[in-house]
Amino acid sequence: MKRATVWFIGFSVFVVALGFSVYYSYQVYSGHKKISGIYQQHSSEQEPYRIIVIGEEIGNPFWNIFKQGAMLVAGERAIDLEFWGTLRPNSEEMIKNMELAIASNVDGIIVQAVAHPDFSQLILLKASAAGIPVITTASDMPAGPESVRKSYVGSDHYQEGVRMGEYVTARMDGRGKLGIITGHTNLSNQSLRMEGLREVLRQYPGIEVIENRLSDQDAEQDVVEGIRVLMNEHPDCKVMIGLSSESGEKIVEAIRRRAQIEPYGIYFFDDNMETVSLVREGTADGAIIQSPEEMGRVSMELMMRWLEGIDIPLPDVYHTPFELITDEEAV
Amino acid sequence: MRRIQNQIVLLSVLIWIIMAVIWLMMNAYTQQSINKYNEILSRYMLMNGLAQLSSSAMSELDRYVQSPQQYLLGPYERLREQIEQSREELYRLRHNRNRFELTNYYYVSQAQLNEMNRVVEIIRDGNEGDAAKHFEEAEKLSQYLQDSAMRLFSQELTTSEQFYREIIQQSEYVLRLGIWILVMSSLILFWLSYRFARSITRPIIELTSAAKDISRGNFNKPIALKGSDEMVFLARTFERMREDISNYIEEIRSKAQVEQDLQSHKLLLKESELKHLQSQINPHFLFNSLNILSKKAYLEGAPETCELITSVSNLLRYNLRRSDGTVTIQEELQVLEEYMTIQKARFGDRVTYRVKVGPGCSSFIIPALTLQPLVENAFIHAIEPSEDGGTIEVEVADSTHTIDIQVRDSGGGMQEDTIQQVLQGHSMDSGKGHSTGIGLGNVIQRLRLYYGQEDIMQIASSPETGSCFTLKLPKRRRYHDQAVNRG
Repeated sequence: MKRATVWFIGFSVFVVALGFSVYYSYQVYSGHKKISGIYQQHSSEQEPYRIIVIGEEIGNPFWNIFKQGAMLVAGERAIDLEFWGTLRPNSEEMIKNMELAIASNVDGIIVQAVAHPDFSQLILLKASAAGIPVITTASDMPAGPESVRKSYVGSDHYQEGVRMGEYVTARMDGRGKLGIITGHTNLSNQSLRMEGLREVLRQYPGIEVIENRLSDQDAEQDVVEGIRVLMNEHPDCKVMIGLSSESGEKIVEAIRRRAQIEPYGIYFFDDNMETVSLVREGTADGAIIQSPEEMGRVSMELMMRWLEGIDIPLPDVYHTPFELITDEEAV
Repeated sequence: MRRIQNQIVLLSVLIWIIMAVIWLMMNAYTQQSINKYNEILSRYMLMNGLAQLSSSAMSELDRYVQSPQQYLLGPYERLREQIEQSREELYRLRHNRNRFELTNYYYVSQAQLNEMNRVVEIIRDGNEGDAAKHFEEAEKLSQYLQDSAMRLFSQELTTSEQFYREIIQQSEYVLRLGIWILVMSSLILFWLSYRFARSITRPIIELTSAAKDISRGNFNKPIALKGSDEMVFLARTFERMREDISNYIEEIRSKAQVEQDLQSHKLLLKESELKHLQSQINPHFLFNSLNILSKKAYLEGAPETCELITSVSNLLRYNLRRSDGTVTIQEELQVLEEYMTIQKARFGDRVTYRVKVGPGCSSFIIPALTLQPLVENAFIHAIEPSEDGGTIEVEVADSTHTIDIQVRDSGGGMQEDTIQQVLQGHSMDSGKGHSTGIGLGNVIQRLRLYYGQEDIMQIASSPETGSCFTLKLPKRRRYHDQAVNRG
């Protein structure tokens, strides 16, 4: 009995040890393969295309959604896709990234155009000299002979302005005071939106348009200060439109400092897919949002079409849809 | 034959192999890890090296631009070559994760190199262009190269981190694997050692118990060991010895049994003979009748008849009392005297009877009814057939180791084959016509059994001198002493 027990225990331990040995042997083996895989030499005969996306505020939800769309295409076609960018709006940094991308001899650049004198003149010339195609997205560069970008993929900001103008004038019944607030970022987008707005407002003489004044571009508090001045001068102006995400936020911030939010009608254009939450939570009354996922997908597809030599030249612009979100829908 | 020495060597070799395999495995793994670490380190060094080289090249180029002397171009050219070489080496380090950054790094370096070369070309060869502008561009690219290196390092570190995590995980697994393999091989070795020790000790234990059995006298348990080593050889030899001893003992025992059976058979035979004789007539009745006859004869005035009947009575009494015992020669001779009295009455002067007893012989003990049958035999064969009668002489003499008793008669002797028959113990006339019913053969047989000796009687016979029966009775009996000793 005692002997049998000893044998049984010995045998059981042996079986357990054997099992664990096999298990850990397998782990070591598979781990070894995994380690080898990490430093696996790149072996494909055909070099994959290297495409760089450069954007402002690259960490915000807009770019995250954009990334999803772009990655979809990159994954399908085995493209090396990288996202570079700045965390805050910074034109200098954007230009430096562009230069670095051009020096790196990438196959294609998808970039958010910035309003900087060097951007169009120097960078795009350099890129075309190096034979690197550039597609702009989110914001386009001013049209003109210097615009050597291959295409623009993004919202039609002018139409955004028209859409917003139609909606707001309807809400205002064609009369009253309307404040239009311009921010520091995405100036080209803002001016296009402004044009669209003006186009509509021309038909409503009953609406008095008041604009903020941008005195000093670098001042952080400048936009808020501008709104404050505007409100002081026109206390009866109860409807405001922000031309960018930034200005939308500043309007809310400025009103909160001195009054209740509810009586005010606050509208703005969303650039980063973040400020749209102001409408959803009921603080703001309406916002126009874009389709970053489609932008990412289409810009990549167009880039690939260019690189593979299909369908040249590319369409000059590809307008992605936008949408007006209002508190009427949200509530 | 599988030898114990071979088994020990085999076990040791097995242990050695297991140890060696485990050691080699661990060592190989460690070496592999070290190689990986070295590889990673050399990657870092190479990557960092390019950025350093390019900034060195920039400063050399700056010196040349400040003062365009040919000899100042030498260090720059050397650096440039190193950069070229380094770039190519670096390009081979591409893998799936760092491909993008490394390619960028490679091209930025190339762009910078191009700009630097253009500066040199403008200054040295007098080409068209603005040297300062290109130098500035090269400087900017040098800065970008640093940025690019940073991006590459960042990616490389991410990869390395993954690698290190895997390595740490791996070494954990290897440690556990080692422990479990140790447990497993220990168990195997315990088991093998146990088996080995048992294969040596078990035969010893069995042999020990077999030896115990044998020492207790139990020869019947066979020793069966399986295998082929020295112990089994020993066991087999032992087994053969056991069988032999067992056989010997069996043999001795059966011999003793046969002997014993024979002996008891003989004794029984004699006893039955006596019983048979005794049962022929109720001896007491006869005895009493004879006494009455004796007294009657005496009263009727016939003293001779009385004496005769007394002799017959005495003879009968002796017969009854002593037939299975021993007596002294003295007593035997007295009975012989009684018998002679009767015979004398029958034969009268026809018979001459002489007895001669050597000194010191009277008290010698012999079986009862030894002499009387011999004498009676002489009467029957020598005296009765002869009309002139004869002489019977009895002589008892003390020889050195024996008492010699001779019974001589003056008859016509015996045939040779009759003598042989008598000596073999079955004479034809055994007991027939004898007063006691005891013949010559019976006497011889009894004497042989009593003394345990075959040549107890010699018979010499011729027609001229008559027969002479010689008994050589040993002073020390063999058979009975042995029987007593054997208990």
